[in-house]
Amino acid sequence: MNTQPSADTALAHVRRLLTERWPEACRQTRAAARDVFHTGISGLDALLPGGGLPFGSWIEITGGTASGKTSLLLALLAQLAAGERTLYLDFPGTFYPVAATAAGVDLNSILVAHPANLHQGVHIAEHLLTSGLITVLVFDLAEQRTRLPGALAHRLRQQVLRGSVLALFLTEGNGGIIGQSMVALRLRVRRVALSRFEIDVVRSRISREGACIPWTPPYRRHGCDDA
Amino acid sequence: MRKRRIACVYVRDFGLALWLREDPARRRHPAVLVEKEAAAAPLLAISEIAAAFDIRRSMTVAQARARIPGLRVVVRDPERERTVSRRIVERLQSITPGVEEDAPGAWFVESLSGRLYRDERAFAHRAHAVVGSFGVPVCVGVASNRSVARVAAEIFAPDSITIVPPGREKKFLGGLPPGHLELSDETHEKLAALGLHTTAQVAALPVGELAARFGREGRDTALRARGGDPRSFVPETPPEDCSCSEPYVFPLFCSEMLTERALAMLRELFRDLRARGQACLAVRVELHLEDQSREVIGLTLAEPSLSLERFGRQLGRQLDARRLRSGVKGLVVTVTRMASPRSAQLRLPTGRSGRPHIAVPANDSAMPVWTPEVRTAILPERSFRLVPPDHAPVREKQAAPPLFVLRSPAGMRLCQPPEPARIIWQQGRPRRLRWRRADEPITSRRGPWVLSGGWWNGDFDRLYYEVETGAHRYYLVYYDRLAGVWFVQGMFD
Repeated sequence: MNTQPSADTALAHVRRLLTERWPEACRQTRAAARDVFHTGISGLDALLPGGGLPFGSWIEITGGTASGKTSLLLALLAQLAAGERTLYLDFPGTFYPVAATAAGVDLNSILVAHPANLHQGVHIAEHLLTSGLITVLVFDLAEQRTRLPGALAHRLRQQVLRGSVLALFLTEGNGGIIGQSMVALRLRVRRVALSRFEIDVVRSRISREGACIPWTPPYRRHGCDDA
Repeated sequence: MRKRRIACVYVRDFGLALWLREDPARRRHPAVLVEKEAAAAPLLAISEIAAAFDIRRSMTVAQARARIPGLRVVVRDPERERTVSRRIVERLQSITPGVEEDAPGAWFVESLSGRLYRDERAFAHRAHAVVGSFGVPVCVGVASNRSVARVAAEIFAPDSITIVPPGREKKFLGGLPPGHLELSDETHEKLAALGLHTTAQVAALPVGELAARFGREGRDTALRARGGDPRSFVPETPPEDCSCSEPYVFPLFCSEMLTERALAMLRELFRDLRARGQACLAVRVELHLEDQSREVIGLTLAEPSLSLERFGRQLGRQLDARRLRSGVKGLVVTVTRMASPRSAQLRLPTGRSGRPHIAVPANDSAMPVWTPEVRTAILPERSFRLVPPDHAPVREKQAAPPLFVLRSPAGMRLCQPPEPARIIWQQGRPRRLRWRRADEPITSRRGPWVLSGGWWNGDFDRLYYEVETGAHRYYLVYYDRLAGVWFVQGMFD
């Protein structure tokens, strides 16, 4: 009688060991191969393995005041498929639903929270991520100067990995609010004109760094224009 | 044998912290906490901004108001403090079984390092995160006993974690003033009069000497100054099961009758639980049958409840499903799991409408989750509202309402409320925008558009502009003609 484990069993065992040891790396490989979030920005999608942002990873969108990072974020949220939901943690309290609608975001798919501090924000995120209903988690940390504490970041990362959620962090300035090691991709947005932007890939663990992608959001015009 | 280690989780000025957490905007105003609203009432707690105006605890409300006319006076709400404190105890019991509730804003927990947590610091971080999730500033101190742990938590800034290694308690306390040793005011003054200004000086005195002068307090003080604690750690014990039973002379066969009797007994048990401020999670119903056998029915709910109907429905279904072999001659109803009703619980099954059903009680500010809804309005700040997810009807994908002031609203961040700004006009044109700390030249503008409304929708009369400043920054600003002030309504980010 053959008592040797089959090749598949051995492979599954090794895969389980690897997943336990390096969960993030394994998750990214799996997600990149099968399940990614298409950004709708052809230049960015072409740059990323799998043609989109991998679920289960942290993406930081940064830039100066009025640089266009919110426009990019809303453009990404407009790409959500039907039935997918976003939890938007609005720390500065400046989320404008009319702007989101104009960018093509379905408001039925968004839950907005105004946490008083980072602790409360992570607490809310933990509760809602465990439900499995959230696909994209947005941490709007614009105007925020406090660094996300390591313990909180670790807790959040576990939930993001477990739920295979795309975590988008919106920060201002040169970043640094989130730990460097946590972020899979950092995009810096620059405004060149009212409706023209450039997206720099300043840090990436999933693609090449240093790329600069021109981007023009498909704004819809509303009302009269007296220009 | 491993010695027990105690962590003190401490929230400074607990009553004021609870009031401040409800609205972040409150942190920007000076506020004090008092026991009752009276001019002569002493101040119990002072916010950071009020302290910056040199308001001290020894003052009365009238004295404080003389210094800050716009001072907010908050009356303490002991009931709310108790409720939140119980919730914090429940959350702490999820990370360690040993929890003792001390004065408002202080909880002692048994540190479980080495068993469930990597080290004491990891445990302290966990306790910090658990209580910090309530939106209050937390300090954690870990030491060999309650007294030193409390001092370690108290003396440092909010959000700090202090570990006092075993055997270092006396040295840790040595440099501190004796006021940290839980002294009465009278003893404190006497020690100061004796020239004892540090805990180390108190610890150097013979115990008998202090006991002879100050009685029992002196003995306790001597022990505390040496790093000991006269009181031991007494964690709360979980409540025991409570049960009720009744025998029947004539055996019962009918399931309706059995359900009715079981619910009557459960009503009595629930009355006790309600008096203790608790609710029931699981119930065990034992049926003693005529043939000496026993049937056990377990009833469990997803959340703590005192609803007889919910248990009654479950029991009725289970009794109907079982075919009893013989009559029931005895019934025992036991509440096996109790818990406090947690108002902050979230239930997230997807509703029939397709929207996740999220039960967020309106009175629980720890879970503010909303669904945005766009509506037609003239003013940008009135063009949407945030509604609780339960109450928001699912609509077709909404189109943005016609807002003629905005050429391209996508990417706009709205200042809520609009923030005052200064716009410098020269030669009939806006030249500079001064807002927050920025002073930027205005390179181009669009507008104005006039928005005005009468008394029926709130008086407003505004001139709106879209201005572009250097470095391609675009703002939506308006001039309030009624107030004569410029405001920044939003920025295109």
